[in-house]
Amino acid sequence: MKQRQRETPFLDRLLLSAGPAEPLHQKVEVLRQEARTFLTGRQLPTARDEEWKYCGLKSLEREDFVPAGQIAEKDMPLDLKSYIYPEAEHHHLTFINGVFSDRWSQTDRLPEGVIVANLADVLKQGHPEAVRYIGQYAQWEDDPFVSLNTAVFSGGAFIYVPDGVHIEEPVQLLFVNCGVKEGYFMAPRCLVIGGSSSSMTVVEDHIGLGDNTYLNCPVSEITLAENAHMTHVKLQRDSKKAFHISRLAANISRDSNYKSYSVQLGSLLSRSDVKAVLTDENTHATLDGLVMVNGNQLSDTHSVMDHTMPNCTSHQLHKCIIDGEGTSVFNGKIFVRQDAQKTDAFQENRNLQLSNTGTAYTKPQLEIFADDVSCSHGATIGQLNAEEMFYLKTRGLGAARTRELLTYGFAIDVIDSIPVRSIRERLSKEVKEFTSKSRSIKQYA
Amino acid sequence: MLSIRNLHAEVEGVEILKGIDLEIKAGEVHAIMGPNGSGKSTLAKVLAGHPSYEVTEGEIIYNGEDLLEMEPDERARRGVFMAFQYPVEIPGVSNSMLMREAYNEVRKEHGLDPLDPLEFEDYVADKLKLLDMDVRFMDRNVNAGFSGGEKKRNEILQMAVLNPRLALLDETDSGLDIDALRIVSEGINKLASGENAVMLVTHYQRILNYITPDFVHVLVRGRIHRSGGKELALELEEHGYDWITADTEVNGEAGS
Ligand SMILES: Nc1ncnc2c1ncn2[C@@H]1O[C@H](COP(=O)(O)OP(=O)(O)OP(=O)(O)O)[C@@H](O)[C@H]1O
Ligand SMILES: [Mg+2]
Repeated sequence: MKQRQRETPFLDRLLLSAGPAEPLHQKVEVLRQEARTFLTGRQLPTARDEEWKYCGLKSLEREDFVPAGQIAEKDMPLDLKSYIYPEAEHHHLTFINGVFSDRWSQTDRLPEGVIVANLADVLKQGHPEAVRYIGQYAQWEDDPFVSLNTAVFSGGAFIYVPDGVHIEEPVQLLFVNCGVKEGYFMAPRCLVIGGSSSSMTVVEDHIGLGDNTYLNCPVSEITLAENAHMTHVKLQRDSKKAFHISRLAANISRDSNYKSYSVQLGSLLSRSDVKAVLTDENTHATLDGLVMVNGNQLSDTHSVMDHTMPNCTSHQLHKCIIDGEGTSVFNGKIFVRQDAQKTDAFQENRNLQLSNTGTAYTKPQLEIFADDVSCSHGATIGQLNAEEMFYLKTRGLGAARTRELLTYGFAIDVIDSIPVRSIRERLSKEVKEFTSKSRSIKQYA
Repeated sequence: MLSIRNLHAEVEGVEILKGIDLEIKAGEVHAIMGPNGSGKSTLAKVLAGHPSYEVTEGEIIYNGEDLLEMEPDERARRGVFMAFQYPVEIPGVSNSMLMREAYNEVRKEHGLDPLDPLEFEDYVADKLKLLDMDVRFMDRNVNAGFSGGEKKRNEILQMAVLNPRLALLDETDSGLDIDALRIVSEGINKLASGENAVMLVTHYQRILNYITPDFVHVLVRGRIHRSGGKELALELEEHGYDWITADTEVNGEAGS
């Protein structure tokens, strides 16, 4: 039995074990059928695929996973309070091992008309906006992971902010994973709709409490109407043995502003594909990132910033800290389409190598079809700056402390631009923990 | 306090210091002058322990100990301080954080308890006053976005906080406006008293009007070609360096 299972391709095995998903809505059923057809008999991408050149999935392929909904400890009597940011006390959704937890979710004190709910429920009720937008933006050619998510998702977040409404406090989406033995996979689906002249801050938190193996395959779709403002923080600290493969698509309309800050700390292998489409004039998008890998972690970010119309700006500062035998991969595409005159696009990828056994790959890709644009991009791979180290040492700080401070300083500018104080504090702590555990920081003279 | 004997140092295989002898005693102020590229900053950096400079000959004894055996941070904890000619910006590390940690390292060296942030705030308030600096500088990242003069002043603020035994001041006067020069000089004078010694690298007589050197040394092409009292600086101001090198070329360099 086990033997035969192994011969079946990974994706088929997942579909098989997932079985038919609970029907949510007619449209979703159609999408699911398409996804299943696409996935059937399909192999995972390999290093021969240009987009997966440095991100081998062999270790994932060897795993057998059951659907998150099938594992026993769904609603563990944990105290999850401490994982909720104080600012999000009144509106957060919690998913335990991929399954929505009513008990640990709270959505009061929201302005009139705002919906923060489990996506499955909303689709079942046939909410017209949810039905309209689901599956519309998360589209990657030849990519099995969106399809996998579409085929099996049983829940996730739905956030709807009507025209002209502002949510002051952040909405937190907490995906917490307990240390269960059985390997499982989860595929949360999030849909965020910002009405015209609305504003919101969403914090997406993926936490692994144990060091167990699982696959987290989230897909998020975001659509912002005219003059909508959204800040989106994603903090990935899944278990150090987990696989985190995520897709995020943002559709940004005229005068609107989407700011995404993505921080990757956890997982054995994390891969995030992000796509921001600036669909109309005077739009701004930020896709900043901070990645920290050590041990044999690999973190791969593939992004697309798509300028389709004139007078838009984009900002992308992506920083990676590589320690141990870790690997970071960055592939940042910027398209400036023919109509996108006066585009101002900034991209910078900086890699800090703490160890000499780590690896960084970086590939900025600019494809510019308009002639009156200003695009700057830069990519660096380097060690800590020797003059800065010397300066701190001449102030009496020891070698290890010097490296620790400078590593922290390297990470901090991404963190400092995040508008929620307790998230900044949390991230500062994470960086300090990372540096304090780093053997490269302690050992070198 | 400091004895430098026959010091030779090179960077990337090029010899920059070619036999320096210098004695600095507690309470003294030594001015080092000399043309661009003559090795003044190199001397300061070698004393502070910069890893790019390799000492190939000679010795440096600091308070009876071999300075060259110590890491830069150990030298600092033992009271050696360098104010940089070009202070670097340190992203993400605030001035107050750096100075408090640096000061606590010195306190630890003296067996004293560390100061917490509030205690340190009190401690630093006087120093800020001494240098006429706004307290807001403490919250900013070290030198980040500071003007040229502000960076120099910030170096002396750190000196004031750390109260070093041996201060190596590399062109602290360059980039300071007239008022700042006076304020910074007064600050240095206060700190240079008694047990402490100062080695001051400068191109200009100006700062020496405020800080009276006990000795002036002229460094040319990696050697001290002439040493004298404060009047030597005045002579240099008037005649430049040519007469010194011409002088020694006849008497000293010719055979070597
Ligand atoms: N890292 C280096 N690599 C190569 N040459 C160097 C390096 N550092 C210093 N030098 C050379 O050593 C010589 C002495 O430099 P140093 O900075 O000590 O001069 P200085 O006397 O301080 O000059 P200034 O008055 O212009 O500050 C110069 O010729 C300089 O180019
Ligand atoms: Mg110099």
